[in-house]
Amino acid sequence: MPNYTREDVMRMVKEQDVQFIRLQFTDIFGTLKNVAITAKQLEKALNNQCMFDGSSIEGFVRIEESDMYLRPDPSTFVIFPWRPQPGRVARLICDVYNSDGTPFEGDPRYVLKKVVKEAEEMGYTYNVGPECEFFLFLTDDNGDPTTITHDNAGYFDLGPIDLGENARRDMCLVLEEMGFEIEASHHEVARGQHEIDFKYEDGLKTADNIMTFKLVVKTIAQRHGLHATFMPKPIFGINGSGMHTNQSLVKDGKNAFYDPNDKLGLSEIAYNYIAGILKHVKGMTAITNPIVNSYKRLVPDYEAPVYIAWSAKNRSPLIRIPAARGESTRIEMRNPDPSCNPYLALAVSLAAGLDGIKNKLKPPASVEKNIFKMDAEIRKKHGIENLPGNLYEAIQELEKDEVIKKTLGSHVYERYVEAKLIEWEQYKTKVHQWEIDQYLTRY
Amino acid sequence: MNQPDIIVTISNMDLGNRIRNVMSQNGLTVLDVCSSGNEAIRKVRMLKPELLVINYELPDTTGFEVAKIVAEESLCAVILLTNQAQKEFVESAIMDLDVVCLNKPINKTTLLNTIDIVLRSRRKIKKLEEQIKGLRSNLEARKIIDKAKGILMKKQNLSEPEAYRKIQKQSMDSGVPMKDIAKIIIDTME
Repeated sequence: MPNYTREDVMRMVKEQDVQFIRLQFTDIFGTLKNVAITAKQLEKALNNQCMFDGSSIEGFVRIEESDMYLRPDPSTFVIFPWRPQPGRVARLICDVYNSDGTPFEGDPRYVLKKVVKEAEEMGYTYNVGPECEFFLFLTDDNGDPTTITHDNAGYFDLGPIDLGENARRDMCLVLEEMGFEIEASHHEVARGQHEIDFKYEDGLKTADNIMTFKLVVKTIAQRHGLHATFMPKPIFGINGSGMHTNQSLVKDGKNAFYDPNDKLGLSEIAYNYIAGILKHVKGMTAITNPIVNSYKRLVPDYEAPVYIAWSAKNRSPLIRIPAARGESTRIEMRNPDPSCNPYLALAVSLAAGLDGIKNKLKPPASVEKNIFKMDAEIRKKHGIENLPGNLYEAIQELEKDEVIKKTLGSHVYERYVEAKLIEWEQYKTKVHQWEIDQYLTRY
Repeated sequence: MNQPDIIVTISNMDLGNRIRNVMSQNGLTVLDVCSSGNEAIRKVRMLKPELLVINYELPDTTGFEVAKIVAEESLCAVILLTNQAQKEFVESAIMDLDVVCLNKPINKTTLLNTIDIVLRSRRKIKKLEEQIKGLRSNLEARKIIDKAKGILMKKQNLSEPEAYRKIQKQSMDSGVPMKDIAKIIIDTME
């Protein structure tokens, strides 16, 4: 993707007749926020003078300290291709700053930037390639999303064209127009489920890309009369949506995970990195799998990981090493789901890996058998532990993990845990449909 | 083409069916009557009608939003059923899009006349667009052939008709369009 300067942005806005610019940032919970300004105000915004009320953003600040500033990152400038007229709309992704000119600790982008910088100081560039899955559902007569997929909707029988395929093709075209390099796009295992993979970039850019990707998918789905959701497990009994993240480190222009002399082709650094992730994965699950529903995906039989292990062959464990070697050597983390905040999720993954490298951790032996076929006894013998079983367990694990807590910073950590505990409490106390179905007539 | 396919979208199904009857009795094929905007978008994309007749007020979105998407991607022609205020708003907002507003209450004659005019002009525009496309690619080919001709004239000392004849002959002998032969000449000899 191009690296625009401030002047480039000013020029493009003028040349392309852009009328509105959206200044985007992400809150702690991964929701994209934006302030729209007119082209006239652009210069002011690029001078970092665009102010907003931080107390209105969930998890940001209290009302006394609410003045915050947005600093647009010119390299993220993109014109939205789907509103050709009249007057185009562009966006800039921003960093959040306090009124005294210091970076805001609660800005997820800043959290990621800090870890990326730490990696750079150790000589590493962090590359990430995500595989985002999502569902396309039909909307009802009032425009509300349903969980009915286009695949099994009755009227699909009429036409030879798959609505979802069409929408996905449009999504890919729009993403390419916005500078994405699409590597693969296909229908997933479940009905109505799709996957689009785009090329890896450095960690920060990938996190930006994931946010943009979600926006594009939702927007284009809407233009096709469909609803796109990144909810991890919208339907019981079929596969959920994951966001496998392929990660690698580059040192001095070479893939630091590759070592041709090793029997798996992996370097010492790679083993340390894997060990770091395995060590901290319980503590970071609350970040990579952030909602109550996330844990309904992490159950056996639906291609999602449940047990903490790694393998170079098998697809069932938490970490898989894809077959490609050389410059493409990478590890694939399989637990994150697309409801996570990508900035925080990538930040904690990298921090865990770096912790492994710094402390020269050794991973346990890889598990080449299908773990889902083992019983609890054998798993115990192999030392295979489970991922947290629900959001509450995950929060408890997070509270125990000092490395992850330090990575998030006290601001994000405290606000995050507080909000997640409320979310869990609400879920726990509410009476669900399942209980009604099971007990109402029986007791 | 004589029996154009139409999709009607209006939340009041009674009215929708009445419109469908009027259309069917007058030689128009109504593929479907939809009751919401999202359904309309899905059906337009799937069934590829020639015309969408859609009411401004809909339960999930407005007919205007649907019309914008359909017109921007030129999926089909659109007639938007409006009142005077909506009509003024739409016409001030979209300018050059292919959307025609028709004020309610509609009667049989104006509806059929409007459909007739919209479809006629759309077909005419389609035809012109195709002509322009043809002319453009002809012009493009002409430019390439001229360039190849120039190269042949210079490098092989041919006169203009000779150079042209040479390209033409190679094209006829090999069954490859002259434009492609010219491209090869430019690529190999320049």
